[in-house]
Amino acid sequence: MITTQATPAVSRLWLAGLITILGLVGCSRETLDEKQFLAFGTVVEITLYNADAEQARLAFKTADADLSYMSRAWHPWKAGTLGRMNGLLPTGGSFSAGPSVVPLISKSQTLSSASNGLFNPAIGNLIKLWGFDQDDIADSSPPDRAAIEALLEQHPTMDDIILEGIQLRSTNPAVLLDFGAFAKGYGIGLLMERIKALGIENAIINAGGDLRVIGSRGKRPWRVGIRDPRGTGVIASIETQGDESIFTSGNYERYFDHNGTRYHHIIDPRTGYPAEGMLSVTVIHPDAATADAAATALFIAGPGQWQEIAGRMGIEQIMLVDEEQHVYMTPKMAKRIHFETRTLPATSVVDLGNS
Amino acid sequence: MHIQTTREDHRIAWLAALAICIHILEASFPSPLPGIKPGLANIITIMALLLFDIRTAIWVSLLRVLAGSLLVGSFLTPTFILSLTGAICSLLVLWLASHLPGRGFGPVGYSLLAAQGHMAGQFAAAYYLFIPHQGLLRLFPVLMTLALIFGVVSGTIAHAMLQRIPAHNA
Amino acid sequence: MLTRADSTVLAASVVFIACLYAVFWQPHATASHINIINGNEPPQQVSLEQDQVLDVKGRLGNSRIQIQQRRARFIASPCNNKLCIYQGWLQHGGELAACLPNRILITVKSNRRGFDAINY
Repeated sequence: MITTQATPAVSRLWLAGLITILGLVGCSRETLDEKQFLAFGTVVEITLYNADAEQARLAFKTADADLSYMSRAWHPWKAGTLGRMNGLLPTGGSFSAGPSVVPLISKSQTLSSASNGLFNPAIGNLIKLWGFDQDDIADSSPPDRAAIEALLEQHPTMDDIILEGIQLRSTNPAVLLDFGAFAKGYGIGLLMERIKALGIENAIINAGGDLRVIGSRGKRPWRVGIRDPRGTGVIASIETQGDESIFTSGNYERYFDHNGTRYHHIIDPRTGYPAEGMLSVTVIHPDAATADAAATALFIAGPGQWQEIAGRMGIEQIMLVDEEQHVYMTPKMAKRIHFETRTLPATSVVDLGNS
Repeated sequence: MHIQTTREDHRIAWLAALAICIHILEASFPSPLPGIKPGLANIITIMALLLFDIRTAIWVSLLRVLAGSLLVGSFLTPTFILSLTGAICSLLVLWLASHLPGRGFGPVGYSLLAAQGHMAGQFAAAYYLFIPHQGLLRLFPVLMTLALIFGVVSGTIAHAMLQRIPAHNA
Repeated sequence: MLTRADSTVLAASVVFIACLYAVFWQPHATASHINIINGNEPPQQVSLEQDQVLDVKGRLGNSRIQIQQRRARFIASPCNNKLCIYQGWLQHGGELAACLPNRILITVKSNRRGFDAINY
């Protein structure tokens, strides 16, 4: 035999190494706390990784109170802060705005002008005309074209809102505020700050198309699936990188069918009709409110114009699926997207040119 | 034409020739997944390592992959790439193992490590380069089990062969 | 013929391969059970292993949930939009369908390789 007997010391070393490896593989304890809330007309799901029991209890208690407060205060039509303001705006008189709504207005004014007016929360009247203010839209039908034209002629925009301190008035009687998903995005952004303040480092707040994430799931990043707008299931997944927001706007979220045509809830403020050309837009950005406004604006911008709007708004990570089911990605997004479908969709990587 | 050759060159050539024979024999066996083989040619690599050194083992193994694929006609095809990745991974594992303190491994230990390095490397290449399908992952444990069995078998064969070499049996 | 190092490696390999089976052969790694959440009640856990049809009484009436081939879906609900039914089959960890009017939602849970959240 040319082999030598291993000395006891060597085999002990081996054993120690083996046990260490097994320990690392098998025995890492992890806890996952999850809770769902009904708010903003959707399901808000909060997931915490390795938070201690007291932190988790406090976080869920805070979330319950904050979410129900925010969805009441920022609901455009029901009795609440914003609902009351929408009653006063058409009078043109000056009134004091609810403190919780002021940052929503000023933030959306900035974002609206950055998006060239495509993200426009001042078209609440159009949303109402289409019936998307109702909970039950199954039997809706599209409004009269003349009524849409009449509203468009009045050009309601965020610039019509004059905000001085907390004094607010509208210079355009056609303005009604419906922040839609933007309020949801801004709201979960605020909630995440409160959760962070409790000392929680790893969390996801998922409100449908609006997702805020911090930290990771232990040694691996959080894995987020993006819904397939072409049907059901998941089209792709993204591994999150620290603190960021992932927002998707899709035509499948809220819609009604009438005489064989589908009418969805993302109204193009230029035409007064549901935006055409896109199935879904996914945006990743550090700031939740920006990501949300951008997802809406890019969806409305459509296949011809989204690059320009993305440049204006400073968005670099974008994935879009157009009506031909073609997937477009910016280079930074393409690096992170992992398709989960059995057959790969047709994809193109589009350089924004100025990034 | 005459090329100066050393004793070591001859040794490597003989061992590689042996390994290539086994490689070709193996290539004619059916296989559950294209390109995945028992790796009996590893016997020769292990013997080269134990009789001589890791340098010889590396030469023998790489020559075997190159010449074997040329002879079978799979040079630069996916099969070749799988073979090569497997060989490189198993050599890497052997290199690490032969540098561990104590020099405690016998033919079975080395062969086991080589076979599993080989299979893991091949599988990683197959998965990432050719068929990135989730379903393939379910095959991985099965293939590693086969690698374990073949590793022990080739190790035992190598052990038996080494015992018949008088110079090294003293 | 086996040195101690050999036997250690052999033992380690057997353990390693057992771990591989544990990781890659999780019974249908995509999903293991669903949680049915009815209003503010605690979630009810239902395995996806057994095909069945469940009736869950919500605020408006009964929602019917079908489990088949390790997938789950709404097949009837007393709401008008029927968005919950249009969600179709759920099978990946993290997927979710809800009947908001009836305040019933189902979420898919999985141990591994699922999603931590779905952006929809």
